[in-house]
Amino acid sequence: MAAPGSLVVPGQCLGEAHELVAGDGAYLWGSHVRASVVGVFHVSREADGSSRASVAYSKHVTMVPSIGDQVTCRVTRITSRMATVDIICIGREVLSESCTGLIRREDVRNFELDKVEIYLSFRPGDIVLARVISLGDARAYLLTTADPSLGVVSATSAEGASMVPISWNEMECPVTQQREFRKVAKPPNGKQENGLA
Amino acid sequence: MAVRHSEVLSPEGFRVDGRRANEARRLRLRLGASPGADGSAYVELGNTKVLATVSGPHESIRKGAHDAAALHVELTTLPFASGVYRAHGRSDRASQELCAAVRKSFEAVVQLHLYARTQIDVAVCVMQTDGGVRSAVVNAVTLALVDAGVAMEDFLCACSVGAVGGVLLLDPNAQEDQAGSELSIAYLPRSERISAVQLESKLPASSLDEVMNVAIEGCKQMFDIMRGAVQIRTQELLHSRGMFNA
Repeated sequence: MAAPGSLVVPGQCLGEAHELVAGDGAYLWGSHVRASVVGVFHVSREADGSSRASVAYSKHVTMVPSIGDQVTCRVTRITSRMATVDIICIGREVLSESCTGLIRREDVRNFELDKVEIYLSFRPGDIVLARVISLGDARAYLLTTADPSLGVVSATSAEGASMVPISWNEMECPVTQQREFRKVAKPPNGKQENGLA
Repeated sequence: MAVRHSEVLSPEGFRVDGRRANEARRLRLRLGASPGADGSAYVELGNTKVLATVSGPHESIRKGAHDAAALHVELTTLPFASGVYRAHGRSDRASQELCAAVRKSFEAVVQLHLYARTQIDVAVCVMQTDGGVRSAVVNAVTLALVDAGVAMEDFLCACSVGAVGGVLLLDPNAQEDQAGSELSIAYLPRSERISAVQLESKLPASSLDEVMNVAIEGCKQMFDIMRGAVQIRTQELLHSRGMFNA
């Protein structure tokens, strides 16, 4: 049985199943929790009083999006029915290799669904916050931006300048003052970066 | 240049290369041997030399079941690996069989369900062969997967045993291999399970238990060396990043 803080290798026993819950890098086998990767063994106390065993590996480990994750993506292609994106971040973790996602027309927002136009919501190159709703088909993850906090967070205008959001569906180019339509994400504190409500 | 039955052990109990019957060859390991890959390991089992590299888990380009990762194993043998020039193709029957066996044994050990919709590519290069290629490949792939940080239930350690006229030889080299039958197993040392068994040519059924026990002992020896190498390598890695001080 390994002591917390020590180095463990895959298959090594971390503790009894009734004392520990298997977290990242650990798994349950029979009545024991064992390590599944090599790294440092940690025990953390959970809110419900249980102890969670996790093993932290030193290298960057490949992550895969799962349902409910908030992801950051870059729009690569739009059609009248959907926007194709590259998922570049999961939460705050940057992926070493991007994977493909899809935002369908009906997942862009949660009101006036029949009036949604993809080209008035996203443009190629936009950085979009979205949430994974399904693992989708073999090609792409299905994403949604149907929440005020989700949508375009960064976009460049035809002029090449980074646009400023002015409402939930418009962004303005600071150089030409030209407005473009986007499904804009509302920042968590309710205020835009420029101080506008 | 096969040795005759009577010559596998000298009257003093030594084998052709000077080992005792229950001694394996020197196992030299290097993790992270190929820095470009996500994980890699170079294994020398005596004169058998194998490099395994792992890439992934990355997004799957092939269609298929996407509730778990797909494991792809590719094996190449260098033309001069056995000392005589031989162009090994990828469609080579022997290497295809070895690929399939390695894939099957690792599918049971790697926690593929954690990496839905991805694939893990394992490329093995056999640089030199002198018996025990199967064991060296399995050990190298285990270490490469550990190096890549892919979640596994356990180490998979492999070792072979040669039976030549009733004499059991641990980890036979190419000469001893040709003299008798060879049994190689892949073993999970922590959970004490056997993942794969391969027997080349015949063996008396009565001696199977004994042969298996010798092979398991060999696997445990391999495991101790492999675990040591993994620990040293990880300590270095963690130490260089200030995550662990031992």
